Amino acid sequence: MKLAVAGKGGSGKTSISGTMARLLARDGYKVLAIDGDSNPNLALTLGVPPERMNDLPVLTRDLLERSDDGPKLAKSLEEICETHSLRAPDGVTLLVMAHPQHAGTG
Amino acid sequence: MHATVRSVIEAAANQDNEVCILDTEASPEHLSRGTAQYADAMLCIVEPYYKSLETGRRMAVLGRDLGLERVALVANKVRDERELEAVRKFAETHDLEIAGIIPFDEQMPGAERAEASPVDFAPGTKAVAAIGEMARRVAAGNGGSIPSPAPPETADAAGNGGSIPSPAPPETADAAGNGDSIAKPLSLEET
Repeated sequence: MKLAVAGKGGSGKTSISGTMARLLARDGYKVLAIDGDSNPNLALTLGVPPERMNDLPVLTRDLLERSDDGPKLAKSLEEICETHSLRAPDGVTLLVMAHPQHAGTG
Repeated sequence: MHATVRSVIEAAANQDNEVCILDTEASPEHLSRGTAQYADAMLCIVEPYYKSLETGRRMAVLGRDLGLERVALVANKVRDERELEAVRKFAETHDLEIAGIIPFDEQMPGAERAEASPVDFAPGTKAVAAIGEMARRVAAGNGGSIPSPAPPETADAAGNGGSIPSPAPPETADAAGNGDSIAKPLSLEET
């Protein structure tokens, strides 16, 4: 099951996403959580300690390559998870998308 | 960025025991770029006031345009029956499913302030229980019954001390099992 969680800022979508991920992982599901928000705090909601926030690997555009059908991942998702994911409590795999803001002065 | 998200979701495995959860950007703009296009379902989290509901509706329309199998609202921070009724009425008017109703719970902003997961901060709190119940239903790919995807041993094997409240009683499952798109109202007065 692939779920997209959408909502206005402040609606609680990140709290709900993170809580769902943790509880489903406890139920025995293999859970991949993807932070696509430009203010990444899914990690905290998943229970990653704040002091580990700087270790968060992000997915950058160079993981994509062109194909006839448009951009495709240059490696398998498993390979990408090995190098670019962080393991959150209860075994949740977390991938964080890189955002243009990261390259800015902010 | 949007292409990366899209490609990752596309590549995510989709076995029965696997769940991929994409926490999307707050602005609906990404949806028109197809970020959610390879998702099986989209949950639009709304609060029980008009602007939030209207944003949720717009996101739901975009999700349907992408051809997603299931697009549903989740009513969050619901304080009382009156608010719940407003959400249900809105959903009915716009022919939208309500996948879950999460009660307002002071523990949720509390967890945020503590920079902790609600699951660790307040394991048994009512919002976490409601989210868990919804998650199990949605992950099982149906609007109705609440099958347990793993035997209890598996949950224990996670080795985390925190016990999770069991999912909602079977009545809830029966109520939704008939294909009704509107979730049965929960009693918000409890606990």
